[in-house]
Amino acid sequence: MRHITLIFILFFLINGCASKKTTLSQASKSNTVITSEDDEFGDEFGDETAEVFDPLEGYNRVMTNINDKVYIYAFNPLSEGYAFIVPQPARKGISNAFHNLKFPIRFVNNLLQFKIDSSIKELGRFMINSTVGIAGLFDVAKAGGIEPQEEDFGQTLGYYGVGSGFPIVLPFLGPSNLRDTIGFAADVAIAPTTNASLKYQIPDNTEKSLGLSSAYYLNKNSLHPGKYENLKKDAIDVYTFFRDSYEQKRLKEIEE
Amino acid sequence: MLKKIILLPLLSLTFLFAINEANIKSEMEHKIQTITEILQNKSLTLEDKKVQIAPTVDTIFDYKTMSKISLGKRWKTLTSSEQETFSQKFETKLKNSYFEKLELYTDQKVIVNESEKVKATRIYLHSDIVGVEETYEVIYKFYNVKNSNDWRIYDVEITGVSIIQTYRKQFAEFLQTKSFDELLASL
Repeated sequence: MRHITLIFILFFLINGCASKKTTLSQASKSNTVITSEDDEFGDEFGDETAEVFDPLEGYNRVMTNINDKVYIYAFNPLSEGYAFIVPQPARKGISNAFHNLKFPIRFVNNLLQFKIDSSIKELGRFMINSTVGIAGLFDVAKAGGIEPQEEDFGQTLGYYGVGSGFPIVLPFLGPSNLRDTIGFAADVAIAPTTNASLKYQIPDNTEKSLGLSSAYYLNKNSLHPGKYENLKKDAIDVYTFFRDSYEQKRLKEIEE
Repeated sequence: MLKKIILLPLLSLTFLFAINEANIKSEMEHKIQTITEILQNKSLTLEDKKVQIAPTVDTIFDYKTMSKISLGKRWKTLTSSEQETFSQKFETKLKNSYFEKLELYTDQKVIVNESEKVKATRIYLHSDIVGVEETYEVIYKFYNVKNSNDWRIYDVEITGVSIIQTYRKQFAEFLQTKSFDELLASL
């Protein structure tokens, strides 16, 4: 399941607190040399005993548990039922349409990171898919070789050097961190599926906005059956597993 | 003379299993092809598939090294027999984990991309799995076994998440509060 964020003052404050313990991103990437002559992989994998700055750990663990129950007992069965009724091509079309709608998020964040080439590609994708692709139902642009350029505000903040802060597990949405939660809020603010004041935003009240979001997540989940359970199997400690995997993934996304 | 006659076929056997730098991409393409065919064979049971895939995977996955890396500093504190027990259990866990992931993406297309030489002794083989909603990048990381031409896999990175790094951190955290024997039991 994919989930996907005051600011600078807050960041500096948090990093001040984090100075004693390393942040997750540092722990993952640190080049601390392990003092053993034949440990040629030590540099590459860093110090595994570096403590992670996780002030909300208690809450995070509880929320991880709650989310787990919600996924397994409610969300996944619901998605399976939905998948049973709605044929996959239709669900793929819906997924494409939602993805197309999130164009402003990708476009703006590519621009903010000065990825001009990618911004142009996104613009091209949006125009092609919205017209020839019938309101985004068909990803015609991808068939034509123009791939999506995934960026979000959390990645933009990361691009400008904002550290992840500390881990936060969001209700339903899953693992995140301070920076990405703020980033997510920013993305939601400009998303066409949100009820706010920008002209292109579709819903005219909060209920409709929530309805659209629910549909989006339900549809998305139905296209990835078994993924959550499969992922969970690798975990010895589910919470730290998801937390660390999430941070690794975000690091990679920010670098690209 | 007799020694040479015996050694020669044995040596050629090891070359059968060794992957040279030049062969990495073509060998992996071949292996992935073999694995995909086995996975998509509807007449086999899950157990059959696992058994059939094992030889293809075993020759290039360096489980011993993976075990060593995943325990980090702790590895050196173990006795030989503890290391051996751990390696075996970890190997089983890895194989099961890898197999389960493969199973999930059976019907998806796998594209092997370029092999990237990041250091003199490290090559990353980039591949993509074309999923329903998005494309996942899977990177197989090879290292050069000392004093040989053999390259083996020491890590697999899926959408930016390194499997060995993940286990390394999990084991370290586990061992902060629990014993090694408890770790063995949990595997």
